[in-house]
Amino acid sequence: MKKKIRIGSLQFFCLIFLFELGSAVLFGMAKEARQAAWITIIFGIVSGCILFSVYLGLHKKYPDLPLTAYSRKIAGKYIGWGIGFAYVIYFSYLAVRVLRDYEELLVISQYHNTSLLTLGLYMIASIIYVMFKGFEVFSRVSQVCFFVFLFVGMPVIILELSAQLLQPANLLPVLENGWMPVLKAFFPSTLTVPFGEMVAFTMLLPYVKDHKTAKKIGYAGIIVSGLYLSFRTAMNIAAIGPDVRIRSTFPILTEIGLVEIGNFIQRLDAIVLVILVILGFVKIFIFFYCALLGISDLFNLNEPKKMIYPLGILIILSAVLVAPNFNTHMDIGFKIVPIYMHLPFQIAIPVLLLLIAIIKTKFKKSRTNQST
Amino acid sequence: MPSFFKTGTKKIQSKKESSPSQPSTIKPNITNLTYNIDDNIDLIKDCLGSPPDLNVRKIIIDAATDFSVAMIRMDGMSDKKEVDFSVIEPLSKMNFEQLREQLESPNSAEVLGRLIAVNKLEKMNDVDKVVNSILQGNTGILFNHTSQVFIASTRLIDKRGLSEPSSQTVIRGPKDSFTEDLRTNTSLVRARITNPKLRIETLNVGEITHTNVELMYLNGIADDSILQELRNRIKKIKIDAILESSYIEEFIQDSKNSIFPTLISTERPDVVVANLLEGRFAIFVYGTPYVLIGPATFIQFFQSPEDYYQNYYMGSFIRILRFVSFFIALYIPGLYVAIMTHHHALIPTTLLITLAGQREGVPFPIVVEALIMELVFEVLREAGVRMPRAVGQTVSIVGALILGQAAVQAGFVSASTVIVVSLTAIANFTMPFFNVAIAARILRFLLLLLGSYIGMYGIMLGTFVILAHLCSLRSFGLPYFDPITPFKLLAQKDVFIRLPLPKQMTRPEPASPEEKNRVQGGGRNET
Repeated sequence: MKKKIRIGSLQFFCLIFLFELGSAVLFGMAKEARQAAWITIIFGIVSGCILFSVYLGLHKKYPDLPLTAYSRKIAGKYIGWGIGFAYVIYFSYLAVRVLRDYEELLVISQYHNTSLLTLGLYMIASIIYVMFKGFEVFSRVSQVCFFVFLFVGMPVIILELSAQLLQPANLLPVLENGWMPVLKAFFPSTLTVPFGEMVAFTMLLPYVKDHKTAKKIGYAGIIVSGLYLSFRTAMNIAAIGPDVRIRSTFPILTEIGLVEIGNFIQRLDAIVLVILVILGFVKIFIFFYCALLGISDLFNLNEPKKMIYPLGILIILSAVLVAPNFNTHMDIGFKIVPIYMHLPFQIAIPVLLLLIAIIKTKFKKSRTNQST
Repeated sequence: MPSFFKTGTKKIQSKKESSPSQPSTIKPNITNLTYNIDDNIDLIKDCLGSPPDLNVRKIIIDAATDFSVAMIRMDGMSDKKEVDFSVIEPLSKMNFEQLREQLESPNSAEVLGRLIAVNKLEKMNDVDKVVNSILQGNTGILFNHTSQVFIASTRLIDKRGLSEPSSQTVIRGPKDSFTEDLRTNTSLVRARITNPKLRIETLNVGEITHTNVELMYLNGIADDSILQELRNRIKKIKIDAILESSYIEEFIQDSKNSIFPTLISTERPDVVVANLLEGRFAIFVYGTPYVLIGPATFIQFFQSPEDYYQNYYMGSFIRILRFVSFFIALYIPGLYVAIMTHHHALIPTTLLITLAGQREGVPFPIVVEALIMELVFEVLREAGVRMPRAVGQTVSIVGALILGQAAVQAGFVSASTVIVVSLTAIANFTMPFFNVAIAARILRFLLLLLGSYIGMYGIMLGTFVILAHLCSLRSFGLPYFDPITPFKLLAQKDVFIRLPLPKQMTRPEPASPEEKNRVQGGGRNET
């Protein structure tokens, strides 16, 4: 990465927005909270902002370095390297998981007879093409994708409204069973996906113009995307009701499938699929790219682009091998990954690193004070 | 011609090895002009290989002192009448005694200039330059007892008059277009911008053809760094011949293997003027009516001059229509195949039944059907361009009736495929600049294949790839997707919709930053 990559503030915002929506829109958030799911997401926004402030704190100390680089500065050469390598594996694994999510989505919704491998291959092939063009190009593409999202997503909302699909009664009673279900749904699943996944941006923050923009746009991105998610979830509940929502794998498709106006506008699934593919593309790209950045940083590669093909092939194959079937995949995703992977990598390690960094600087300061 | 493309660069290299710098036509034994007029005439004739169109007129003025004069010019390249009346006539009547004395003096050109009534008279004694000037249509005047040659500018080449633009027509707007003559073309622009800021620079490209290439810009408004980059790129061009401005385009564009054009080519003077005023440059090439304009962004290929000549509601509407047409030309065949192959559920039931009914009995899968029809259309289109005018009727009848209607009736293709293909074809013609339509023409085959293979998902991924390619392109450093990404709010006034002209008081990106406002204090009344 000899040439300095710079991404504009609007592009940064679009990246965060599309990234946050990624899997969250797909699987529907906080299903266990039933009709209070949207409240859970509001909690998620707050916790997401707090987590992001941790990442920002690290970024402020090392504005030009990604996570894998400053972990070595903070935790020492060997432990830091180990942490960095663990993050590379974590990011690659998340790329694999998201890819599998989208492969399953495509198989279930449209391509019943297509193999996972084919679908994954095409996704990764196009991602590799864009990756060879560089991250700046990707951020521009994601900005165009954001416009497409607005252009396609907003009419869908209007169509839903005009199809008289929404029954506000589904949202009542608010907090039927008290706060407990809300909190249970919040921790750990809503906290970690999607808000905790912002940990990927610790690798990308050095590309943003300065710390101030990173702070401003970062918070704006999290809050706007969180509010959108909350609104969309409330709409989803109003449209299909909490019971159907828990039972359905892809609640958004269930919801859109109900839209029918004048016997002509019907089956908008494919249009929503367009949006979902955009979101998946952005999310897989970012995780993939973070893993690539980590590898090139840890092994001091002069030509990071050489690692794109091996890593891409690894992701395609692992996406097929990561779980024998969709149910196992979902089970791992909802029960094991949040606790054993998301919590340490998204919260524990960054918080620890920040604490050590703060103590270190304090220590240094007091030492310099003593010496003078 | 085709062999030229392959071996052009090789030829130049091999020539360079054998004879550096010296033109190969000159014989090594006599290389300089002498004091003997006959030797000089022979030398020039030798250089040119005594062609039949070389006209040598020798007059012996005074036999006693052996004082004679000779006029050498290329027939058909020079103005015969002007040579007769302004050169030969005064020379035959002149007072030769006085002239002979002053021929060797430094101001001999002025003395002769008083006699010869042409608008430019030069003196030179380098045989290469003399031969070049004669080749350009000037007349070389040689005297005995001197090695100086006087060059009278008498260039006149038959050229076509101004005509209506043939490929970029408008309903309301100027009806003149560029011709093959460089000077006529620059004058068409100069007549529209009477301002000393308009600058023209001449460059010579083509090691064999020595084609005149002129670079035009508005001084101060065009960005100097872009102009410097352009000059460097043009100077770096190594080619033997320039036959059309596309030759220049291929050498100077940023990305050499992109399917999308990064320079505009136009035959309309008003387009050139509008672009010069926005801080862009124009490249005129002798021998072609197509002028290159750059740096160009993707959006510009959708801006027709007519958008600005009509009411801005209409202008905006038509521009949006053009974007939709581009989308149709690029996507509709792919989407049609994808939906019919993979996503039947997307189509409303009644329509699906109709479509399925049409497809009954069609022997081919829908991809093959669509591919065949697309190819047939491309063949028809190419035939339409190449065929002699006289047989035009035949091709259109064969194309429309036999291939269209009969194929459907015979059950080879379904009517819906024919509709889709013709819709695509018509939509492709709405582009004001045909070179961006070419991109859509080729890429739609890619999307068609992707769509047939994995449906909408494939088309989406294909779109990502195309989009990434577009976003990675630059035209002279300017991002190709300029006002959209990186997003510039103020520049949106002339992208998808055209705001009224009083609201468009700032120039777009390539203009130099000091000259952002179109008129002094102009940016203020913009909201």
